[in-house]
Amino acid sequence: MYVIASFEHSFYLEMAINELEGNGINKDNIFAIPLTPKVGQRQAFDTIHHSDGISLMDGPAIIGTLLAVVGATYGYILRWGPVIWGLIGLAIGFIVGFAFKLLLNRGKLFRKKTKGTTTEVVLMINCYESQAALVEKILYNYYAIGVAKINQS
Amino acid sequence: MDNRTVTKDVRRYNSYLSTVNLNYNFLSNPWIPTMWSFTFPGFGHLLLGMYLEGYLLVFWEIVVNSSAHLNEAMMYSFIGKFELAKEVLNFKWALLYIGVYVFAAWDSYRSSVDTNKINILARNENAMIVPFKMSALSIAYLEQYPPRIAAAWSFFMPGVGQFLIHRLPTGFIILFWWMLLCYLSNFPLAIFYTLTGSFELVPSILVPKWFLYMPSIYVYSMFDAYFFSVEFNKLFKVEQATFLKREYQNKNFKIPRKKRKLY
Repeated sequence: MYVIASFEHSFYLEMAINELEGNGINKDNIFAIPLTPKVGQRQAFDTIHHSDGISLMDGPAIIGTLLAVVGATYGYILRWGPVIWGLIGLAIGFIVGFAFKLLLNRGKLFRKKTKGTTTEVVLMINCYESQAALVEKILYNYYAIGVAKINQS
Repeated sequence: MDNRTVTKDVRRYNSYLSTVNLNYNFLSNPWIPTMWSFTFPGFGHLLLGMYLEGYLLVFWEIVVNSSAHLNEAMMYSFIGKFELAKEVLNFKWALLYIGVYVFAAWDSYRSSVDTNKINILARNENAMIVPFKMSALSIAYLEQYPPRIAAAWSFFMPGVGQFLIHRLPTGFIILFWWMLLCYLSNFPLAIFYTLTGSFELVPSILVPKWFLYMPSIYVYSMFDAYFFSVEFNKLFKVEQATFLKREYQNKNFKIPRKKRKLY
């Protein structure tokens, strides 16, 4: 009997394996396949799960800083004062830098987007039929994306 | 697992986890540290993980820039009062400024080019990544942090986002200078007057000499928190994948297959 599950990289994955071993699944009967992400499949925004994109924040941050300094200086003679003009400069610099970066990388960014969760690790467990329900339950408890059972005996 | 046992048999490695800091050598465009050095000498080195150089340069920048009254001269030049700019600038210090300023930027570029090469060589050596470290005073581990949360913390209080991702040396220097500059420049008062609408009071109380340092520190702090949480997320995944491949890929594991007669 095989139970196959897909996971994202996280502490939960290791905890799932840990609990399986605690419930009598031998270490040798657990097979983990970490997937290498497809190169070029990039995300416009980095999140905890999709952080292998090009960093979009470097350009905007630098241009934002420059314009924030300039804005703060002019703020000394403009009506709203250095604080507000500094922030306006930061916002404009950020937007300009961001637009520029998006424009430069549009080919890479908008090629193919994966939405929601992505499989990063495939886990295969070889167990007795009587254990399968328990294994499945443990895997789901630790946030498996999907679980399949295959009976070949 | 210890840094010492991990790095014993390799010549180069890309990450070093200690309870004070997770230092990480990443691949980057050399212009990014260089541009940060231009906005604030020392930040390029902080970004590259060269803290001693970074600390010295940040300290130097604040001492020499404020002694030369460079920030004020810059402000007067921007708003067209060139006479005032000449008057306020202290040439004795200003001439000392240029050399180190340019060196900081150039050195960031050079170091980044070198660390990029080292990164590639070290990848080839496949040194193990230390995922956890504990000492009498602290616990450090690889974790996945949402980059936007780290950046948001630094947005509200520069330096705090760095504590979140366990880069204490950066967090410390940013928080320290931020607090000091806030105090010296009357920044909190300026915010108060801005929020209550007394705009005409703001330029008179906000000290440009100290205030003009603050935008760079503010944005760098957000950028650094964001950038490194992205990098550390990758590091976490690489480490876990390496561990799984090492421990959970037994050769005797029977891959499920259907036995079917082909002919």
